[in-house]
Amino acid sequence: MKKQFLLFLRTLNARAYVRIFGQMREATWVVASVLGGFFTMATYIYLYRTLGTGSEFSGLVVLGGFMTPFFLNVLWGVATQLYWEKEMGNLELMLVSPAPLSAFLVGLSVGGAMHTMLRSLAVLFFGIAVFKVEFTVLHLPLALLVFLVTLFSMYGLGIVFSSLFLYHGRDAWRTADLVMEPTNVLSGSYFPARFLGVGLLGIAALIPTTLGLDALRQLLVPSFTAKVLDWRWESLILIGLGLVFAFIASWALRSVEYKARRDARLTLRWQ
Amino acid sequence: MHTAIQVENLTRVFNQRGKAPFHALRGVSFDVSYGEIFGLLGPNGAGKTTTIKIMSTLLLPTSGSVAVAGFDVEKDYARVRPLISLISGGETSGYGILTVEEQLWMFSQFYGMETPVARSRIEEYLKVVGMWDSRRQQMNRLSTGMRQKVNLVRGLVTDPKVLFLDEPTLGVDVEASVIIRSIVRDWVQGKPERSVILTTHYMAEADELCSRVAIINHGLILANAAPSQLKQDLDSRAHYEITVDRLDGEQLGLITAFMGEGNDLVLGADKVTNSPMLVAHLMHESDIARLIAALAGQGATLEYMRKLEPTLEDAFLKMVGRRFEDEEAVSPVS
Repeated sequence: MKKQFLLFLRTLNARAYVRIFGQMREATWVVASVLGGFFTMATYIYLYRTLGTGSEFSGLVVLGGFMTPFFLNVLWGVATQLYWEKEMGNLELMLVSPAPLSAFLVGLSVGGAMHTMLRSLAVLFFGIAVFKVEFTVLHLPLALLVFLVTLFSMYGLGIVFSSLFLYHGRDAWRTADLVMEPTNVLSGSYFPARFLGVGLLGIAALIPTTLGLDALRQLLVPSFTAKVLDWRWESLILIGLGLVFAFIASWALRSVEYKARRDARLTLRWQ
Repeated sequence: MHTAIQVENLTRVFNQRGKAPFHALRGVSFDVSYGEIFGLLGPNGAGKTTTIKIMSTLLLPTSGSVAVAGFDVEKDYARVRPLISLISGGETSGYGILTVEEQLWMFSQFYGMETPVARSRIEEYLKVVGMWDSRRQQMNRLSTGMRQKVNLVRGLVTDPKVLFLDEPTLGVDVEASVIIRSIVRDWVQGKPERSVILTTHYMAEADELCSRVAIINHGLILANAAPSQLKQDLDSRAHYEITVDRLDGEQLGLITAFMGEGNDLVLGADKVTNSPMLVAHLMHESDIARLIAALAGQGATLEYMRKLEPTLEDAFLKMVGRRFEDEEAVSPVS
């Protein structure tokens, strides 16, 4: 048992290392993604200012700009990763090794979250510095807790999707491309999710960013009133979602590995 | 226990959409002992890679069984995986952004190795393959040969009991191939409980490395023996190539009559010197002395002579009916 736990931790650490230190070597990509996030955020802030909305809208946009890279990382860095590992020839080696697939995925989630954190903090810093956006730090520890709970739920969802992507290959890849913008809209990155209306909110609540961002806005933006639910309820829902995603992910990974071995899908590229 | 691998009546059928099922393996059986380098030879689509993928737990058999180090690959795959390594030719695994030593450390962690032990073995093997000085180079800046050496080190660092080598020298230059072969041979001899399963397109490689080879075609094992035995079984006659200063058709007829039935002589010309060249297929090794005497009796002076040994490729050609280079891919997992 201890041996298995150590194996899990070592695999997690090694896979996270690639994400944290390996990708740091691609400096141009890091700079481009920070600038990209910053300019998207700037566009919305200028839009709200042009419309003469309250200052709290700048705050919620900056928080949206902070969370969006995490959402993109979950979609492109976790959900699609097993598919890419297969295309690169790594998946066979991962499976032949004694390490469980979940350890690789948790590792790349942890690594991805840490790597994304640096970019997101840069976006947050530029947002605060350039647009003079103010946040309250009264509830900072609670906000950090809500943020971690949101990450847990988001990356859990990413791991669930990684199994689907592995099994459905390029079809899933195209689907991700297709759903990226709609899910970006539904998560309310640059506007209060409450304005989606009850029907759409029901669907949007399944995307952890939606409730996570709403809860963070309640805790950090003093004048934000357009909340969906109280942040406490939102946090509980996020914990529940995270646990459900973790359970589904664990089952799906085992199931997909078995089916892949049965159908030879792990041994065939371009499927 | 002396059996590293036991394969019994293994079959694998691939169901393909809109096509008839493809029978990649049709009842394959063999075993591999510890200390052995066992070769699997066959044309593309013969079933070699399918067999390796089943043995390495990547694929389930349709029927039959495979045990690696005594564990069933279907039911006990979690116990098999710590004991094996897989290295494929031309593989581009890992992450180009990592350095050589980072990449090797990363893979060692997937086997739960303690970092100091892993680093020590990485150093040892990188020195063996002559790449210690390149340890801080990024993977995406390595040549094919260097990359394959790193792959080999990756397979050895975890000290597996069974090493699967699927075309390990594919696309690699001669020098790197020689190094890889030498390391594989030394590695097997290093500990008693080690064995290698090798698939290769290079017959000379199989001949040099393998203690036994199985020739597989259309999912069936056609032969399973030592390379020397396969060559011996091919033809019991002795073959010679003899270049002389002069010999005509009439003299050849006289010599053929003198040698007697069962000894075939074919007259041609040496490609370089254009001198008469005799290819002799003799019933017995000792008949060569009579032939040389007969040539001398006809006034022909010997310029050059060599014995023609049958190759593993000849044995393969005889059994499969075509050479590797005549092949076309037909299997979904070739």
